[in-house]
Amino acid sequence: MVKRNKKKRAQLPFRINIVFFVVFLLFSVLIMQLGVVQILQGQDHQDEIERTIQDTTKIPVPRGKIYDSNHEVIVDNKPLYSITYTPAKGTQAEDRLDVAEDLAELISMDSEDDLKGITERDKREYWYIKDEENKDKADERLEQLDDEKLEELGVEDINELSNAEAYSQTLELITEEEYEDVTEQDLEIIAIKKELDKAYSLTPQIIKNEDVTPEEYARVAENLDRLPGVNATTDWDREYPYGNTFKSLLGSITTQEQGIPKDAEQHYLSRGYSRNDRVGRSGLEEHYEDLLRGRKEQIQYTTTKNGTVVGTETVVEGERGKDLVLTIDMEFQEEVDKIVREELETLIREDPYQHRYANDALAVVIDPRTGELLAVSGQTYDREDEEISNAEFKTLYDAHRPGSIVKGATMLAGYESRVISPGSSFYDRPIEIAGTPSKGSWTQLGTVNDYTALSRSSNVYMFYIALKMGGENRYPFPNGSKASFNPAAFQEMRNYFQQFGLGASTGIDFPFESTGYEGPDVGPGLLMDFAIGQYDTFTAMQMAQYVATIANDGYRIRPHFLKEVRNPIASDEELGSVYRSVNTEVLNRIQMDQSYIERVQEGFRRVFHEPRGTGYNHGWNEKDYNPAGKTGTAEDEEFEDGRKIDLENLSLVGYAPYDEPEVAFAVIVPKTGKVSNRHPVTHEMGKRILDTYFEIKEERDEEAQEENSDQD
Amino acid sequence: MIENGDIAMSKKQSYYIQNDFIVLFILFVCVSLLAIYNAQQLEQYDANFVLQQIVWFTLGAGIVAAIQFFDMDQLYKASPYIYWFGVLILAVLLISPESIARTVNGAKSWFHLPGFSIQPAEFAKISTILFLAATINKHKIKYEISSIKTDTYLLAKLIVITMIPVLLIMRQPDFGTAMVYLFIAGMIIILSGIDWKIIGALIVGISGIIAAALGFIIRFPELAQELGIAGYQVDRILTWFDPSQQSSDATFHFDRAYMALGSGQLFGKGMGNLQVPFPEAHTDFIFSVIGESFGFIGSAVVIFLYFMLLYKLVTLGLNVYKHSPFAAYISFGFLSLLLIHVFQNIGMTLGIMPVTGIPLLLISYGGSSVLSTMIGFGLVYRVAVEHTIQNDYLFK
Repeated sequence: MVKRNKKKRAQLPFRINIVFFVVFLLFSVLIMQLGVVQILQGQDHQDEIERTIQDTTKIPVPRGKIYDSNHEVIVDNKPLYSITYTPAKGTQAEDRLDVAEDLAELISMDSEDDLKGITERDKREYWYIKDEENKDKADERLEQLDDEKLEELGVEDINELSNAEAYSQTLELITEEEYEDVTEQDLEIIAIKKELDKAYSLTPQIIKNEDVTPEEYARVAENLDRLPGVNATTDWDREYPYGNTFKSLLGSITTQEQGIPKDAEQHYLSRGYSRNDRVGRSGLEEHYEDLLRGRKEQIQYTTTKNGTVVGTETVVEGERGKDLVLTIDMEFQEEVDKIVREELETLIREDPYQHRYANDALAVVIDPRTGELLAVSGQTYDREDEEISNAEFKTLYDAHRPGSIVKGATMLAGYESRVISPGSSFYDRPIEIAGTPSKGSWTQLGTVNDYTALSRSSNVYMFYIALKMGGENRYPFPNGSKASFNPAAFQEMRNYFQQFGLGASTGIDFPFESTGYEGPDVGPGLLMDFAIGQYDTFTAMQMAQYVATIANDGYRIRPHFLKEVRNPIASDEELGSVYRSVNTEVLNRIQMDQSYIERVQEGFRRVFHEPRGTGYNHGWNEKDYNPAGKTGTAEDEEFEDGRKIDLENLSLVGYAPYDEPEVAFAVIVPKTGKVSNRHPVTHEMGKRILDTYFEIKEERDEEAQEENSDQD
Repeated sequence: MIENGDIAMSKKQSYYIQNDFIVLFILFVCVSLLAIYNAQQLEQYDANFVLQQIVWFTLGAGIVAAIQFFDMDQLYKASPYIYWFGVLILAVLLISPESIARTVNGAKSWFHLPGFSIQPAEFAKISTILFLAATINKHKIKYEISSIKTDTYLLAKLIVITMIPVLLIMRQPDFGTAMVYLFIAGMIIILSGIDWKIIGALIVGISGIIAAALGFIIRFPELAQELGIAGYQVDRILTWFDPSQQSSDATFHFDRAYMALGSGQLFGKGMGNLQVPFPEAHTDFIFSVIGESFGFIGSAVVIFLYFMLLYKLVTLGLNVYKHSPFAAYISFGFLSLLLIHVFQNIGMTLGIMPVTGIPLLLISYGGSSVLSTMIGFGLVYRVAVEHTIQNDYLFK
């Protein structure tokens, strides 16, 4: 017993000593570790804090502008001012009200759109926070709520309400008289505060970016010091002084929200784009993105680990995108648009029912020597809105059966393949191959040679070329018998056509062009159709290249919109120095001899100038610019409830002057109705286009002469 | 006679002036306010924590004074009621609606009342210590002679008393605070005089279970989460064992605080010269602020202050044990509470303990932690007063 007691007495001091020893050990561990962290590694930690981080910020630069051939701006940059708000942490409603009150004096925010978003609650809240007295008054009312009202809210005591509920309730108690007593200035403040309220702390929120006037921008910029969190920044937007003219070919750019296209993200990112950069999405904006984008200014910020900026350095000087000068003459373009629109209108008005499918009229005007596109016009009629609008892109996207205009190519194919020779003649009467319908010219033309075959547009002459190329040499062809046919002839014929650009890419500087539809079947009848432009389809651009090739003595030139690239300069008045000029690019020379080409050129001249030429009755021969060309009418069709409606594509290609061609054109009006004495829409378009071209040219020459004489 | 009376009066007053505890307390208040003031220079929060902390310390000093009006006997008798009241509040917290007990960081640990917030688990620590002390005292009176049987019985009682609040706190869930309870209980059990054999068996058993549980969590973290251990707790444990596995979110705060502490080097950067902002600088990571501001020397002084306080508690406990085991175990309980908080918090800041949200008692900002610590301090202070009175009688 005694022993046990002794043992027990000794127990506690022993155990507490052990505990205290453990405490001592633990504290020693702390001190030792403290020594390791602070003394041994201390300098490393300090170095880590002072280590700097370099961040590069890229500042977007304005995109290059686009000018027409006379240096008129087609696509401009409009500066966009925007006022942003970036609240600091812990910003209170009262702070925002102060900012809103100051801002209301500097910017206007009282358009209907701004004000219609103001709710009753906004007004109540404004009344509540604008004045301490109001606040006390409203809070008092809440305290004095009667039991009935409390019961309605489902609480016994007002303190049971959550903060948000209590606040709503306080606002509810503000009478209409009180909160409706607002001036217009107050409403503006409320509208601004509403925008400020949307901002998250440290994240910029746009308060106003539409219609910020330069004055507003300047006022805000001057007063930034008393507007905590507010900033005034500039951005730009594309502006089109010529409105919709040529716009579908100029293309568009993405918005900042859209940023770079998702499907080509890697492509853009690897070229230094940011995700929210605006890039060309279509047309020339897309095609010349690399030139237009410019070089972003890169600023390198050196910051310490805790975010203090210790250095700023411009690593790469920013440069606005380069300016493009196009080959298009906007004055001429506008005129051509007008001509095409008016003629299409006249045609439709002549017989709206018969012409119910004639919705488009397309025209391409090109300099055959250089490939410079002078005007590219497409007009399309919307039958629902009864309006004609611009659709220039259709000259590249839509392919149609061209009709007889291709006969120049057929003729040259005939010479080159030795199935005809200069002066060869055939008797024009319908040919009937067994199993196919009879095929003839528009009327029986009697004996035709190569010239008259073009000027009078003999289908039969072309049929014989096709048959002979296919290996069927009987002349005259015994109607009703089978024709022998070598399918390789189809490819041979297409190869010849492609040398003119028909069925091939024109090489135009545009992100997309159709090369037309190539008929899948072969046969002697189909080759005959092909020979008169009734089988494969071609775009207006291809037709223009074709006629330009003939006008240009067989050199196929790449058509292009871009004339020059200019270096950006600060001045708005003039253009910078030439960075690069687009040279004339010969894609190929057709195989045929110059003598053969000259015969086709002569045939084209006779179309307009010989009394029996298909264009003679339209007054072409009266023009002193001596035009040459080829008419065409292709059969086309639409189906209405399974019933076939026969329609005609009207086409015309030409150039002038005959001996020294400087302008070539192709026009096509697809799917016109078969109306007798139909409005000669293509001839009118063609004549007026050439008339306008030479008028403008004359004016320009006179102006230039005047300027020269002034200088002398 | 009159003279004698005066002497008696001043004697009686001087019992209540425990110089060593008062000096230590004032030093801690100074360190706390300086550190919080410095943390505030980082301007991460709008509130003026220094001012609020002064309010808490003043309130706390009032509580210490109030406790002196009770004598040990009253506290002894009241201890079961105080304990059960603490348990009741913990239970109420769990069933309280979100409107007054919002879930923060996945744990429902606080009452959020208009104007202030309370963390009941902080207060229940003191009530639990009080009841554990009373229970041991009562047991020792009842069973003057201890045997394996009586020791086992005592152990069972102590375990039950501890586990009731611990289970409630686990439900919140607040793993860190629950561990604090277990640590305090463990210390008291060791010091309660229970036979080494029983304690040995208990230690072996518990450490086996803990090792198995940790092993399980580390090997199968997903499974552990499914079994109801909160994701952030699993993360913290994983972080402790394999720093390379740390998620950037879990390590970011710690990395900043650790870098700040280290950069203080030998002498520190002085007042108001902090370079690295990090969250919770005025609460859980306050030791980093001390380290950066006052360097190794300043930090070591703070650690030494705690050591001194613990030393005072050890000697106080030893001295009063003869007269009142109850008073001694209050001392030891408070000692354990301080020890675990200080070692865990500073150890966490130094990277040798896992990251848990345990405040550095007497220094970290926080109403609940300051007030509950001050209650514990008040009790210990009462013990010291009692001891002085007893000594006085003895020498008379």
